[in-house]
Amino acid sequence: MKKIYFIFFILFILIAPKIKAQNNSIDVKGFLEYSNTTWAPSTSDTWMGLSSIYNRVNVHWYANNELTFFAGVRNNFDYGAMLAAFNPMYEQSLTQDNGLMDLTFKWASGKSYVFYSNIDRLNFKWSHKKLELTVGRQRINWGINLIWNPNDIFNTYNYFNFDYVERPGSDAVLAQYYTGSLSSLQLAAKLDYKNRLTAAAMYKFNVANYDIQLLGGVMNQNIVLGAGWAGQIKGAGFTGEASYFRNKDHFADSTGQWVVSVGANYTFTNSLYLNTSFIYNSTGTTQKAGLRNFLDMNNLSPRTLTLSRMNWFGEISYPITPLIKADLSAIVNPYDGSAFVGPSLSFNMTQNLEIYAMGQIFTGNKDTEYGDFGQLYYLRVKWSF
Amino acid sequence: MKTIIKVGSILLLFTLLAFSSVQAQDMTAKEVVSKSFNLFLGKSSFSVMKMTIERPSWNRSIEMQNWSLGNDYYITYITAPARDQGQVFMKYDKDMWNYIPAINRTIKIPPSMMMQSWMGSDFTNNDLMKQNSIVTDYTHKFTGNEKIEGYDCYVIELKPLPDAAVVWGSIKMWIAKKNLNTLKAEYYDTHGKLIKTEEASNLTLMDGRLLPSHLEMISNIKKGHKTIIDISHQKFDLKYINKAFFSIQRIKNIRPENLK
Repeated sequence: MKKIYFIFFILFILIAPKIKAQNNSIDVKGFLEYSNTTWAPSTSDTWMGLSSIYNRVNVHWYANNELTFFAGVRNNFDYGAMLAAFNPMYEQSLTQDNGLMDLTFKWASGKSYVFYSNIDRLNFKWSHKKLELTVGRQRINWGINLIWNPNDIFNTYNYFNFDYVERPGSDAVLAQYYTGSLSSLQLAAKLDYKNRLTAAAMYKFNVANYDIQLLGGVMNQNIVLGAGWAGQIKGAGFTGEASYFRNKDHFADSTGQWVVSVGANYTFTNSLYLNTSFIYNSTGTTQKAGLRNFLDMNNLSPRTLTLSRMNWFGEISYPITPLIKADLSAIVNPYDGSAFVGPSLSFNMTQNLEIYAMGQIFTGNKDTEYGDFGQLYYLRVKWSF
Repeated sequence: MKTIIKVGSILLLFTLLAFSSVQAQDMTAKEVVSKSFNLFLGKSSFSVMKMTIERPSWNRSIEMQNWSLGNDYYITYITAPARDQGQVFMKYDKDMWNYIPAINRTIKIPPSMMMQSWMGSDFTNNDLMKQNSIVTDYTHKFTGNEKIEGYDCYVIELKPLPDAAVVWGSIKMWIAKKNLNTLKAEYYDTHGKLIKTEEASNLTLMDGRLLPSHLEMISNIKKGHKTIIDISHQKFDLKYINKAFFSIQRIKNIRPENLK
């Protein structure tokens, strides 16, 4: 049985480009990658490896001028000692579908391996003049910052999960009405696997060269109000997002939570790029913030971007040659003294092949926000088609 | 992502090709340069192009479609390489956005991010963003007549005005007498050293206008370094490209034109 699925998987990759050639109303693209992760735990000298073969296929079908279908499928085969060390918890975190529909399929698994597919996009979009209606599994991205997104209440972006920037989709209905060239009103509602509702409205507009957004709604049991902006100061990008959450069932006897993040970035004429951000969480701790394990990071919400009162982020990147880019980023928790350092190098090998080497080095004392994660090293080869 | 942001704006200028037949007699050198430059301007345009960066040991190319209105409005859709395919850039007056389909997000691009060159392209921002500088920031003088690829050309020397904020010490241009296409330009630094040479060829009739479809910027400092732009389609003064064409809704939904 396993073999049949694997053959299907290979066929999918082989057939995809041919469909593309035959019919212009169907667009197929994606990537295939192999990555190796080495984990050096903070509490042990035994390093562990994880290998991953990961393929993504996006299919767009433009049925007519008003109707588009979109499906996005991920096929993953992960194996290695790191998986074995955390199983069955690790496997569950990978194959748990948090949407209303369960579109994650586990083909095969054992103590040290798991092979699964996940449909993270499956929607149709109907457009009519200034109105667009998108129904199904989709990414609703309301973030405006580059690192932390308190306004991104549907599919929260996780900075550490660099290999899955697409993020899982939301099973949702999104109505967008464009009130002007640069302004829109959006209404969105999603249900998750526990039938919890997130529903909100956002108005987005542009004034004095600033994008501004205002939103309000409910996120699970919380009422949420938010605002964000993106603009510039003397050529530098200047963005911010703030959200206020308050339990709607215990509104009177609870205090709210503010999550605020502000960032700035600048690119010099020699392509040196600087980026900085901070995040403030009014209910975050000023003590040791080591309150979750690394796997929980896959399931972030805007309320849990950091468990600390504050985090600071800095990044510097530079293309050493036109084909090799170096990047160094860091996150610091100023209260418990723990930190993350992320050096990386990307190599553009050919037009469509890229090698990426990255470290996620976490340091700090026991029970601090980043002190217990150890060090992770990644080597990834990615072919885009 | 960031690396290709500038390309759209860069190539935009090459998309703004417009041409009205000009009689070249009795024009001053400045008028010749100005009219040649104006060949690259139009009310609106659509173009398809490919930019290739050539280096001694490698080359990379990027392909795109552009829709533009004047100098302040354009949309660029990246069709290749595969990694960037589907990304869309829009300039709307002074604002710029980048739509990234993978994350379904429109990012507002700050001006400084425009400074990067794609894969070390030999076209600098100065060349591309402030091209009318060659008209307004220099004095112009006829220095002779030469033939380039069979075309009789004016040779014109440009010297910067005293207060002009330009990087070149002088520029030498070869402009075809008949159609006023700039077929060659040499860029010298303030010490008189030749830094790079621009060559335009393959004059092709595109939407009724004779224009170069192949442009090369060749480094005279670094051997084997050049940037090539090939224009495969070019249309002008399209009625559907008006101000209302440019919107956030457009960049989230635009698809490349199917051209054979």
